Amino acid sequence: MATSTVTPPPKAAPATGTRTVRRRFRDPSIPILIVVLLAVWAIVSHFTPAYDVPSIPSVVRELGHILTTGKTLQSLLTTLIRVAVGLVAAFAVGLALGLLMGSRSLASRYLLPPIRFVQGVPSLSWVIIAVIWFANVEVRVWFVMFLVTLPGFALQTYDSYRAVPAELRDMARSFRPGRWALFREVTLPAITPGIFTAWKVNLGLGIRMVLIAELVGATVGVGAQLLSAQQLFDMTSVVSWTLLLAVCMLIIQGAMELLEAWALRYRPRTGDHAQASVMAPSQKG
Amino acid sequence: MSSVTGEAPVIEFAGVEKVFPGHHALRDLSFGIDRGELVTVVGVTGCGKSTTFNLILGLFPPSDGTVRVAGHDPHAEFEWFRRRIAVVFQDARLLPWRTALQNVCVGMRFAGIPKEQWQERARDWLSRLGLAGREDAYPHQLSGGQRQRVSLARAFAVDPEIILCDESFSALDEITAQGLRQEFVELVRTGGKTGVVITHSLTEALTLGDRILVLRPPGHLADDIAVPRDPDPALLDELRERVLAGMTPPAAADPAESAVPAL
Repeated sequence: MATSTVTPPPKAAPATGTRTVRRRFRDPSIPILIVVLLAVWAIVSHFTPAYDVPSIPSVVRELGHILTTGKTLQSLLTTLIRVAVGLVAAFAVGLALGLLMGSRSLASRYLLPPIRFVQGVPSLSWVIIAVIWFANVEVRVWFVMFLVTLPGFALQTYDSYRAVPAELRDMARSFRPGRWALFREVTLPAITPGIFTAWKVNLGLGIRMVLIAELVGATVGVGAQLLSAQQLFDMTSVVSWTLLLAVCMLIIQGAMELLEAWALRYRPRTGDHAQASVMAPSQKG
Repeated sequence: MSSVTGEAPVIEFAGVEKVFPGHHALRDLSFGIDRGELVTVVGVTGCGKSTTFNLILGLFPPSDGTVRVAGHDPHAEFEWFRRRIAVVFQDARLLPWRTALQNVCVGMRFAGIPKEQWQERARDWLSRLGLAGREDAYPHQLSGGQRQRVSLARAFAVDPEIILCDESFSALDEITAQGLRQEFVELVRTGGKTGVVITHSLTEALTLGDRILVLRPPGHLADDIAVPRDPDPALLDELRERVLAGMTPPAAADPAESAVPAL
């Protein structure tokens, strides 16, 4: 019988996600880029009229106004909630469709063509269709958000499902597992990287689409505020709202990356394989 | 099918045929394996070893003939074999998102073993296989041999009656493979398991089992050789020649044309 002669074990895989984020915050390129951008902005705004390029102080004042005024803050939150609701709904349906298509060839034969067709329809067409079909602004926005982001979730889930290694499925099958255990232990973890990819892509797509959808008929939301600013030739407001939304997206994407790094913490970092091979001679096998 | 012990064989093939589109994998294959036996199945590429393995596992039915494992049809009664059969594959096939300990637990979860037993059993088996202290390592942090040990622990932790090995030691270096083979034999014998080891290695076939089933294309039994424990070198040489002769298709009897594997 084997007896253990192993060297002191290394700790479990460290939280790679936190390290990645720390590394990113330590990276000097981001502050440098911000400083350069602000400098260029300050110079250009000095030589151009305010209705073309507003000054930095005016934009800062406007941002302060947006963030401290209930009505404008409500517009920002409304837009973010619309994005969240649209994406979550599209994700839930897309995940179900992707899994169904991956596990049933009959479903993939009948569902793949229409989903690819929906993906090929220009987003603006959905906006126009939504305006014609629905009087309710919220329904219009969610309809557009849902149809624009659904194909990404469904197709990414489908592709990820098909990429689950057959060896792992066969291994699991040799133990005769129940369906839920097989899904929870093999399928779901295997498709998780694909799901994160779909979320990151759709997050950017969703935020762009929600603005377009809000431009048509909405009275609350960042899109409505931008439309109002455009009608008043208020470039300061346009820049402020745009900046605010972009920063919100960066924060959400950062949170998403943190979550992804935590969920995929098992992935090897550079040097892990070398570590295993270096340790091997001192360990059994 | 005759049996050394007088009991019905635990694994029994009777006139088994398996035909895939454009390929006759097994032709009239018959053999029996008794409870507690450790049997190696050896043959050249394309002789039907993997098909035999998959039939025992119940992954597909035979085209003709009968396959019985513990008196049951492994394909038609697939679920019945839960916790009764476990497999060690050529590559460890560990879940990359699970640690060594969790990988062993996952096997038990799949096999329907109560959750309260997972941790204790998994730690025990990892320890028995020399992996104490490596429980929290992910597969990529383990060497190839260590990964295969986790795979063995995952199979034995289920406490199956039958252990199937599909060239489980062939991807390892010879020293590691030799150590693992010895441990595997000991675990099978002390646990009273029935073991079936598919291999293309003559060394493995001669040193591992109580019997060697030699398959020859197109998937029929060419020889059934009993191997005594600790055979002397002269007998080993004799057995080696016999296995080689069984593996070699008659058309390629000339050694220059023979496709036998390197020893």
